[in-house]
Amino acid sequence: MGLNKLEKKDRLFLLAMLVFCALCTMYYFRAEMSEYNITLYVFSYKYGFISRGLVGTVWQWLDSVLPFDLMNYFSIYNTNLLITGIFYLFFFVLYYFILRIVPATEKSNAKYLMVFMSIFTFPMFVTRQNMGRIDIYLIMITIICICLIICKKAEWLIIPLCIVAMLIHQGFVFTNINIILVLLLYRFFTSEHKVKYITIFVTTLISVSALFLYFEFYSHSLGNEVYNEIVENAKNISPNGEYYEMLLKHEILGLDVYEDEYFWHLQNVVELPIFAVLMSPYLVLAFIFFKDILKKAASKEGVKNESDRKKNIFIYIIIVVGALTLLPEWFLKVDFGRYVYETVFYYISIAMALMCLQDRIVTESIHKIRSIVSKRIFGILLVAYPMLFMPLYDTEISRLTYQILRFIGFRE
Amino acid sequence: MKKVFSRKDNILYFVGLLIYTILAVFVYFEQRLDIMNTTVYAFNYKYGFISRGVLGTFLDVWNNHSSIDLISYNTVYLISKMATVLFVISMLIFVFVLISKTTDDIVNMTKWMSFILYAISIPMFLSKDNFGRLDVFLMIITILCLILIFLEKAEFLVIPLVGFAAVIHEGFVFMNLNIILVMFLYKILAKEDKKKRIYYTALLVLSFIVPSVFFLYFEFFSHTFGIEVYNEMYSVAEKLCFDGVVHKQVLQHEILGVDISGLETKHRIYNREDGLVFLILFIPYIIIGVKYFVEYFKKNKKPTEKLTALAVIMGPLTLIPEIVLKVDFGRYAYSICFYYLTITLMLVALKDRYMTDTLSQWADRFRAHKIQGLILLVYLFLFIPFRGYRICDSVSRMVGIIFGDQGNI
Repeated sequence: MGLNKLEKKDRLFLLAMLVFCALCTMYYFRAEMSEYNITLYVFSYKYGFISRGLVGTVWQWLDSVLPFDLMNYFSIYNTNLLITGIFYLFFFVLYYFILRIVPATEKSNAKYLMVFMSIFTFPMFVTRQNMGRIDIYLIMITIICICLIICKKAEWLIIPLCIVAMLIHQGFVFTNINIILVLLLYRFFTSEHKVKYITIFVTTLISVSALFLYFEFYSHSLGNEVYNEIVENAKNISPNGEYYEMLLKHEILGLDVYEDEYFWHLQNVVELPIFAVLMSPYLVLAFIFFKDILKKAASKEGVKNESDRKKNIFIYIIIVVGALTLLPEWFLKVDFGRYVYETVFYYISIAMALMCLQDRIVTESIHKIRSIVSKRIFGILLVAYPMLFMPLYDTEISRLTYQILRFIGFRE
Repeated sequence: MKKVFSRKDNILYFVGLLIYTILAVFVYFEQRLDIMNTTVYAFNYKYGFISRGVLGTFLDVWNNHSSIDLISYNTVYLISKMATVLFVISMLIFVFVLISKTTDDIVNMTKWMSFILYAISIPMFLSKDNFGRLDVFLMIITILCLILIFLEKAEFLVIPLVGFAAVIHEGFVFMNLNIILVMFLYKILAKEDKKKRIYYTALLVLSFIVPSVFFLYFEFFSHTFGIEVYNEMYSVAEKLCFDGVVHKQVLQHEILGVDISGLETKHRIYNREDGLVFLILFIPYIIIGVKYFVEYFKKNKKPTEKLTALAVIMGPLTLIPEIVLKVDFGRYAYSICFYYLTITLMLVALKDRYMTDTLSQWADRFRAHKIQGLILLVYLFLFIPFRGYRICDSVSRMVGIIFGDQGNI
């Protein structure tokens, strides 16, 4: 894939995004990490091959080889500041590649999508709830995989990268892998290297599924023996001696925490409809977008034969419903703020990646949405509107919906 | 009204503003009154004609005629809520008046600018620093005066209104009066009828003199009260403030005439640091503003036109004494933004040829560079809400990181 030259206005755009990122950080930064995100640093493979153990294992290994103490809150916090910076850098790398790859005619649309993605991303991961959350590693890995696919280089790396992501957090199988699998499937149907892509697709799918099943059903055998030690360690690295008990119960003892999280489930049921109503303009646009994609996919225009048409229908249905891998999370877990982000991340990433891969149908549908939006003078405000919702949290979806929950008396 | 609401896009625009208002209440309303804004309700004319005493006197009179004790935090909170609602209504009416008089070719740009004005104004008076601040009353009066001037109806009312505003808070002379005086000057120079010119000259002079006299009186002759009055006011203020915590400086300054500049050292340090960082972060808007008004100035050819343009551009210089001597940089930053946005909208609605031409050119530029326009719009939300002695949250946090005051983060 040849890379285009970055024009001056593109460089200025990236600079503007950088300034926006810096100011978002200033505005939303709360300079603290939640107990949940700190507690994960005591997980380690010395307690067996447990879920979410990779980050803690690496951290504790560094602690043992480096001449200074890392097993304290401030070391973890400061390192996470750095990692958050690197995480943001990954988005700029993604934007950079996209701006160099997309055809000149599509750059403007790609920039709108980047602004939209940035509005959701930059405020989110500097809040107390999400600062240092291991989701950022998963997103970084996903971005690397997207870059590999759109640049069509060393795509086999996707397999080990996805395995690493699973070791970091098994939720990867629901939250992020959808993008990678959908893009691999797309490449399988549209490129000449079918064997390569189907091999990567199948291997990735089997690896992550196996790891997920293992972590869910077989990784808690040592739970009772190591639980007390892990609790002690978690207390030691916490600034106030508090740790996130539910996480340990679930990940170490393998207990079902549904009852412990009952309040959050209840809150989700109240908060999600409010959020959906406020976000309804986007839901309408998304519906039009998906309908247009599927209509174009089903059309006989631009296809050689009926089998190609059926193939098109299949692949575009997969693209449209890809975010449904999040459904188990929506139903069983409580971090709706994160799932909203992952949903937005899925659709924007897929759209940008397919623009880079010069997909006719998605590109045309994006043009259609843009024309609908630009017909109204304040259509452009739809891109800026999510600023009122930022930042997205975890168990609460966003600052705005949290305030509404308080207003209706659901929260104090 | 019929004309404006006969168009579907106008109806949608105002519905959009209402939705924004509701969302802004959820996002920005901190449901707290700063001690500064409760303490001033202890000021009362029964202690003499003191500055900022109108609202306290009003509360006292109301309390005397009420069967329940109204000298409480809750009453001030209620008054502040009502004032904020009134402010929102006045802003909506103002935007409505502007749009109704703007020609169709430029109305979209007017709507954009009105939206920006609205978007920064509403959250400002919902934040804990400015909710219930006397400024909200000054803003309502200013908007009312601007509507009267714009519609050329009962403009003589501007004189008592500005006098009343100066009695509410003498800072009106520096922060809000500028736009009213500039509008009168503009009318004098724009009108060809001699009688009209005399009329507007009289209005300009009186609108300047009346609040200035109040200002001078409050600054130099209204602090002759003893410690007894101070103690009594302090005890009233304790009842008005949440948990009895009183803003001592404002009492000492306004009642005893004590110079409190020594007590504001910390604020001044923040001002220096915040001001610098704000100027850097706000630079895209500053560059656009400077370019815009330079272009506008250049279009004016005749000496009288140039004088008008100069007055329009230099209007916010009245804020210099505040910026030099006082500490509320967030309020001043808002005041400057309000001035330039409003004067542009007013002149366009008054069909000023040069201002309309300049705005049209910029509208074309933004149409050609939509992404940049969008980024500027999104970026603006990171400065909202403007606050009190700290300019805004993003600036104060950046100052905290750069200058090492972790308490800011």
